[in-house]
Amino acid sequence: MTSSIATPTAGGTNRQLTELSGKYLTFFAGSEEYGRQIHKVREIFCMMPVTPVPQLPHHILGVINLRGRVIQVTDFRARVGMFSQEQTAETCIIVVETCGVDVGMVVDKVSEVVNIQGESIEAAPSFGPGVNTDFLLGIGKAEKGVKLLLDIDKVLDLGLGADAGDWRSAAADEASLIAAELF
Amino acid sequence: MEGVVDAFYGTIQRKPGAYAVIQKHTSIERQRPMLTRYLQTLITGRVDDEFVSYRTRVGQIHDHIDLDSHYYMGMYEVLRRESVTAVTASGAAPADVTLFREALDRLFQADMALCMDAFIESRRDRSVKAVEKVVNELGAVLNRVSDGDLTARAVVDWEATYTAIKDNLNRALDSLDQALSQTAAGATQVAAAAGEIAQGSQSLAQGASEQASTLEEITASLHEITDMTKTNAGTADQMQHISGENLSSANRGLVSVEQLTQAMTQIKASSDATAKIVRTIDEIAFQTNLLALNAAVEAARAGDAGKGFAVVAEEVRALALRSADAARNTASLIEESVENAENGVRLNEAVLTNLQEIAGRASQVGALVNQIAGSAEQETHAVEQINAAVEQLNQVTQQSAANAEESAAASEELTGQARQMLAMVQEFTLTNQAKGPVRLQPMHRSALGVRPTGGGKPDLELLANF
Repeated sequence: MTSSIATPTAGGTNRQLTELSGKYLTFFAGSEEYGRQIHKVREIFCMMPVTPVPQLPHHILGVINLRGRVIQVTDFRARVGMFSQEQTAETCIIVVETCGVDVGMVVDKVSEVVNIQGESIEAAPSFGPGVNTDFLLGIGKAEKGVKLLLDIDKVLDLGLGADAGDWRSAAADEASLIAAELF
Repeated sequence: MEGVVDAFYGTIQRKPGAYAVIQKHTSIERQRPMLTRYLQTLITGRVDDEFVSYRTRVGQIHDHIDLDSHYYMGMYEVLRRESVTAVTASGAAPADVTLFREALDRLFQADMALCMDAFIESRRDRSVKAVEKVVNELGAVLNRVSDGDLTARAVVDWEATYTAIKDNLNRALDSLDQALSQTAAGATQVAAAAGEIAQGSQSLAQGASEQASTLEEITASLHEITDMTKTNAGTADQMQHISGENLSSANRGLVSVEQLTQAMTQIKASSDATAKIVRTIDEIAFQTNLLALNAAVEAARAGDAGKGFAVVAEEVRALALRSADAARNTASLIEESVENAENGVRLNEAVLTNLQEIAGRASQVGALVNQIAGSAEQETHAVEQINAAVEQLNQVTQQSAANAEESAAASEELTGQARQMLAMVQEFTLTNQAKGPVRLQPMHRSALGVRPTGGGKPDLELLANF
């Protein structure tokens, strides 16, 4: 899947969207394929047992010990408002860096690293008032269907507000504490 | 003289016996002149031929009337006494009376001799005639009897002396006549009865002959049945053999199917093991894929420096994906194979069940065929017994046919003898003569044609003369 999806656009080039061209790691949640900029991706690994942490939002599954580092794990499906699903052999955790913190994200299946040119990307359409599409960078057009390109920072920060940094540090501290207890 | 005659008849009239004799044959009135003349002639002493013939006739007459001799003596005595009394009464001297009496006695003696001679001679002649009459009639009757005429009887009146002979003869002839009549009737009846016996014997012989032929047919049928039962028994044996082979084939099939099931199970186990390996390969491919992705991520983060590495990572990932595809294909093939093996096992189980049923049926068939064989055996025995019984029946029938023929022959002989007897009896003429000749049953040799294969052999030559 190395082919670049280079679909020349007939109209004028969106400058902002052109900046989005580059390599994306694509993955599946349900039947939809999502993409995220590869420079945000730190690592991919198989699903491993997640230690749940009390008092957390329902989309945060808990923490894991990744080679000595404790990182929080978010369920992508829960985060974007999809029904959760049984884990399979293909369920993976993608570790992404956001705001200087590594966060694990559980997805159904990792697909590929793909090069998406700027002209193949369109802005996310408006679904009307009350529908939040902030977490979408845009929509990448491919030969078969589309890939929803995510703003991973927004995905992970969505709804956390200004004190997100505080929360993150608190969460990191708590995770460390729990990890110390566990391991 | 007249006084003497009167005194004589007076004396006779005083004696009822003498008077009855006179009255029976003559009368005093008729006799008186003859007596008177006789006395006169006698007293004259002239005894000539006339006198002699007269006295001879008197003697014969006295014989004819069968006069008792004491009447003679009485007559002489009365005449002598009355004559002497008359002479005495006439006053003659006693010497003359004595002379007279002596002379009269001599005359009476001579006369008595004459009369008695004639009387005796006449009586002898009469006796001879009576005997001749008896002998003649007896001869005639016996002659007729000897000619076979038993109706002959002595009918003429014989002298009283011979009446007993006549009666006895007639009674004897009656008895003989009756006996022969009865014999004739008996012979007729015997002949008729013998005819009936002969007829019955013929029917019996014919029946026995028909029975014998029926028995022969039965024997033939029984032989056929025996053959059939033997064939049945043989077929049952063959069937038993074949059903045994069936059973062993089914059993071998069972063993084979069990081996097949084992093989299938082994295939399934091997497939499971292979599937496990394939899963491992799939896992490895997945991990490799992840590694390749990580490598790609790293290469991307390295920027231009990682470009070559990114290509390698991409190649590795492609290989991993191909490996995963291959593993998936293999897995699906193995799954199919396992499924097929399971199907095979299931089918095998069905086959096993069927084969077990076949084996069960085969043993049932074997048992049934065994029963059939046993029944056929028993049937054969039973038919043999029936055969023996029919053989006995046959012998008995032959015997009864032979007996019937013997009986027929005997009755023929009886008929012949009855006929002979009747012929002999018919030689005689009888009072109760049977009307016409006695009818005897006609005899046909063809009716006696039954020739038994065994048993007695009737003497048909004896019957040939009928």
